[in-house]
Amino acid sequence: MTQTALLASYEALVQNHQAQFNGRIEQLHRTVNQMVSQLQQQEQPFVMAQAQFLEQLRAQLAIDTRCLLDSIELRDFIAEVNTFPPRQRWNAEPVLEIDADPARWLLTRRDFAVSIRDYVPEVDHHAYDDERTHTTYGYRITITIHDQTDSFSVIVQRVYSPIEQRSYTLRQIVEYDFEPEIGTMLKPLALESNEQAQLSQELSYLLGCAVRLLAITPISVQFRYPIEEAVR
Amino acid sequence: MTIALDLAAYQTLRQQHLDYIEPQLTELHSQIAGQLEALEANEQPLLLAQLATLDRFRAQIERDARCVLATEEFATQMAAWREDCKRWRDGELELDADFSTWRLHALPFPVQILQHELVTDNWAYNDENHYTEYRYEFAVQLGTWQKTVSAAIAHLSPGEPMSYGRMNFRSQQSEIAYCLKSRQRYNEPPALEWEELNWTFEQEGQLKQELSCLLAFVGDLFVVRSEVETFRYPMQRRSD
Repeated sequence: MTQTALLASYEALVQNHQAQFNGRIEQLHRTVNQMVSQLQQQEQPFVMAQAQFLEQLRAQLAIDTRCLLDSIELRDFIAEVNTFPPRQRWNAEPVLEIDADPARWLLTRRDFAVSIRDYVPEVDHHAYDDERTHTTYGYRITITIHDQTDSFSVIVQRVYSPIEQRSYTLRQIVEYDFEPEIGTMLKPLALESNEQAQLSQELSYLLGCAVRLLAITPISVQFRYPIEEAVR
Repeated sequence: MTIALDLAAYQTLRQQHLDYIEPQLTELHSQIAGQLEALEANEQPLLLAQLATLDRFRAQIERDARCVLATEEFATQMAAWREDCKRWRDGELELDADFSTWRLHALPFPVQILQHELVTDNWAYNDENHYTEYRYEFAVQLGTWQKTVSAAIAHLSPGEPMSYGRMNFRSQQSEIAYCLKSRQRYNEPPALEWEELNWTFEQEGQLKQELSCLLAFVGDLFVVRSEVETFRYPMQRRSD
């Protein structure tokens, strides 16, 4: 064969390959789509049952979140947060330890109202961190402490690419997102500084625990392929 | 006031949900992996056939890439390129549609292609994202002059959904034209690249323009692409 003929037959091979496989890969995409929506249907009864329960829980937490103070959930939550290392403080300020038993908390001796409402999951596919566009998963909540009400957003996870994502630990969420917000809300109460620190810590754990109970996310919607197939 | 709800029942419900769905997700995962493996196996003979055909004329092109100037494939590619340039009003240097008049033919030495290879970069960055870039890279030698050139052929960018897109010929050609540009230092008089030829700067510029087209054509020609390798879910596919 001449070189020209070879080149032509090569081009034909490439074209044929592409035509064949583009179709097959599209097909695989459709199959995965189908399978994921099937799974979503299958988990629907679970989601509905949880939603029903949540309706009541939401109503109760919106009136008084303190009702969690003697629950096992709060104790479990404290234990779980404490499995993550505490924040490193730049000024070597002593780390305030949370009492594992909420019955001994300072909060039980103060009777101001605490409530949480309007939990809304948030997803942003166009988040930008000065370096990269990525997807963030999180939620927004409204909190009332005494006569102060405030809303804020919390980011739980950032997904940069199929091979890179970052999740925040429960401890990071409690210490970086809840504590500063709650600390600000406690200011008008004009408490002593160590009392204020302890109360904002206790409230952060309490509200963090409440949020975890309120979170309901269907699991299958988060499916992506490949998951954590890091090639570095 | 204590909680009036049965939280334990709720936790059980959540656990059941997880226990039900997680094995199914794992199953879905391994199903996809299995299908991809099967597709790869199917694709393998096609890739091998392309490689075998390529092998029969690759050496000739590597010895002197100018031999493709006379082929129909090159002419087709260049016609499409011209249209593309018009569309983008990219009126750089005018190239003669008749390749037999090209300055490349006046070179007293062959246009050699060395070490053509494919590179996958999972950490390419465009000021906004890290993404995966597929590119080729090779050295071109003209007499004693040698330069390494490279161009992206496709990219896979994160997002919702992720997007996979191929670079067209024009984008490859302009990337290579950029590689061929002389790097001139501040305050330094411009120097000729091939002094022994005694050409003018315009003539050298013309040569580089022709060369960028020729090299992009050869660079792309030597790429044997796996289609299966690019599968991601969810994803949006675009060509060009």
